[in-house]
Amino acid sequence: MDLAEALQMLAPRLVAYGVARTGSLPNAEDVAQEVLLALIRRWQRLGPPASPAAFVFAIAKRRVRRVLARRALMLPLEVVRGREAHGPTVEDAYATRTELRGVLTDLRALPRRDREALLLRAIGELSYEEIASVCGSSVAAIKMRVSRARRRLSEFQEEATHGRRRQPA
Amino acid sequence: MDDDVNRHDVDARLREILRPPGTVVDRVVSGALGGRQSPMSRAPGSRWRWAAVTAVALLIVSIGTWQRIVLRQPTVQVNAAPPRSGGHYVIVVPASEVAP
Repeated sequence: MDLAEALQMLAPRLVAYGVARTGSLPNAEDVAQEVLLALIRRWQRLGPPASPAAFVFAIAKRRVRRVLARRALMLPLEVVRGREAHGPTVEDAYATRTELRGVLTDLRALPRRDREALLLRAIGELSYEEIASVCGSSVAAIKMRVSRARRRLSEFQEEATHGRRRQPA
Repeated sequence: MDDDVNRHDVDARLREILRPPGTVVDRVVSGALGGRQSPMSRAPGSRWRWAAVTAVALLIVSIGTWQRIVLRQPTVQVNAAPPRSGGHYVIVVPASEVAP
């Protein structure tokens, strides 16, 4: 696999991961672009990493955390300045995806570690070993988290289908 | 088997719903290949700005503290007459205010 192929393969996954974690398309784009830039630099200086996917998602995980922290810090200021209400939402960009809001809500209802493991598995398409390495956990624990998260998401979807109201987490 | 079906359904649904538009992906890839600076990578400038703001704030606080500690100490000792003397008030009138 060459660099261009890796970028084309990883870009949509990174954006999707960023959207799922931040709920904001501009933030997701920024994270994805920064991470891909880091991959390009690494590739040019030291050659391709053993697993480009694990490499980029390890960085993406940290960048997303930084974005969330900064957003939480700046949110009161943004609200005071009236910018929050005018910012483009993910729903604007994904206008045709009516299910997106529901999925983002379901993901937010999951425990943080379960959500992280599931996203790295389903969106990042990392192996369990790679996820364990990125999250600093054991493979068994990651398998359990992913399985639990899938089960919870299925339950949420079933509840939505049958019109039952979910208790907020 | 059920778990396999569940796994396939959940993962496929997530991937399908979260899949970004092609224009977004193209923009991200071309931006990364072009080495363009995203808003996040403008952080160094932002960091300098925050450092300058913090330095100015610290300077203002230090000046305020210095003023409170040093400048507010009276430089002239005032020895005023006691307000009461033997149960009577003593009113001190400057000589310049006394009519000739």
